[in-house]
Amino acid sequence: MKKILIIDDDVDIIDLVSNRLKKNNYDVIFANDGDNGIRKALEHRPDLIIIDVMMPRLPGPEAVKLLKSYEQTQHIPILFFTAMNSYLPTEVNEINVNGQFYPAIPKPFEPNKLLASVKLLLGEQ
Amino acid sequence: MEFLEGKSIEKRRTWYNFNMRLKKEELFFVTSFEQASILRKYAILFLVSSVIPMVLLYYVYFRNTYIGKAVMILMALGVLVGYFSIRSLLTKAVKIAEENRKSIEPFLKPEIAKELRGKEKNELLALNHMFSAVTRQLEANIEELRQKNEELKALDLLKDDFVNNVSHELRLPLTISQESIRQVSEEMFGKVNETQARYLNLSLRNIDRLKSMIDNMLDVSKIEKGKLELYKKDADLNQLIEEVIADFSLKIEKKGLTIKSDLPAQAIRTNIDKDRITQVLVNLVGNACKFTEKGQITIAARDKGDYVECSVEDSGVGIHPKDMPYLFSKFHQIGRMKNQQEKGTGLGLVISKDLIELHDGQIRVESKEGTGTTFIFTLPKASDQGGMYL
Repeated sequence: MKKILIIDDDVDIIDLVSNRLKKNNYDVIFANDGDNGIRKALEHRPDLIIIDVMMPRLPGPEAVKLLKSYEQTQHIPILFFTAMNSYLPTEVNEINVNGQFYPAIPKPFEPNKLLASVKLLLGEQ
Repeated sequence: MEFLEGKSIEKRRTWYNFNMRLKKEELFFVTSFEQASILRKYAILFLVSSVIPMVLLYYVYFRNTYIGKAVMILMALGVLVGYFSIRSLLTKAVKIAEENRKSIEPFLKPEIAKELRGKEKNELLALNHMFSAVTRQLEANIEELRQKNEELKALDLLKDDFVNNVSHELRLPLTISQESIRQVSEEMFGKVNETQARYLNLSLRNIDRLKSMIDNMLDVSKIEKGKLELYKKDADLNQLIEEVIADFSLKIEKKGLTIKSDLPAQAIRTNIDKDRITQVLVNLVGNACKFTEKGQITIAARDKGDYVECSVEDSGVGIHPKDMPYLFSKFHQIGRMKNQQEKGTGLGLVISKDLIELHDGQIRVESKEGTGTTFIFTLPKASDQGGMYL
């Protein structure tokens, strides 16, 4: 069973997203902020990390910079969760961290879109 | 105007009448003023030029003759007549000044009115004072209005920001509710009975409505601020129309209607923001569906040479002529239909019109009550007609 780590400061989002993922036979672990997220990633070595862009203290892109700096976690695919897409002119599909582009899906999410992105990143499609 | 606030209707009317009279009498007023000042100047000359020769003549030639005395008397009479005519003209000017002062006094700031009172003794000064008092009052009013205007502008900006922020803040909790209900209704946590499913669906439908209202409000606020940017690319309008029809077909079939396209065989190459034009078509087809009980909806497109014309036609209830002028205004919803499940936001057509106009196109409507409605809009063609179409 593939393991997915969700990092989001909104517990409701974590709850709902884990339901969806568990229903589709994924093992889900989660963290409520960037620091804990990095700790859990190092500890559990997930197959995919879904991370919120806007979080207090350590924002998503900063956390991803750190994750990419550790040897144990740098290979793990990243999927950004973004609630800020409506501030921007069009839907954000990728987020740039240190010149590297990572896929992003808007937080008012469509379950099918989420599952499709997850499958794609895990190489299941 | 603030200086009229709290004043009785009578006083407001007097102010109005004063303004009207001022316009009518302006000419006379100005003329009397000029006459008065000219005569005043000449009055001194008149006196000096009459009295000095009189005195000289009297002493040199006519001191002892009857003719001399008669001339003297006539001259003295002339001087008196002159003096009185000047006097009467000046009095007339002063009377007008005084009348006007009285009629504007209630509207002047107390300190300005006080300054003006009693000044009428010196006729010309009174006129002068009245003019400057009125001018100062007007300046004060203009300044007041300017400040009010600034305040309103700031308030308007605040309102826009507020709408923007509130809309964004509303989206997330709404999405969370939607997803929760969706998960329950998908029976992720156990069986849902028919009645429960019906109410969960009702809830989901209304969350959808609320979401589209928020989206519409954001769109309107973006358009009003001129912040909505189009991402224009070459696109095949035929393909876009077919996609919209495919999206709607299930819903339309459910209602017992049919939807078809009337398109040329060749691709229609337009230069458009695909998402935004899809939004327009979804709005128009959604409306057509809402107001049609039986019959069909047709989306047609034609190449008109310099531009492309697209239309959405239905065989619905049509639009009452009374509603026509308000069709593209904000929050105007035309007569609701009985048992109508979907309620609109009253912004769909406003946004559609704005989006078409942002594409340098035009939108119009033709409708006959009881027969149906057709919305027709134009779109720009793709600039490079020779290139390969992708």
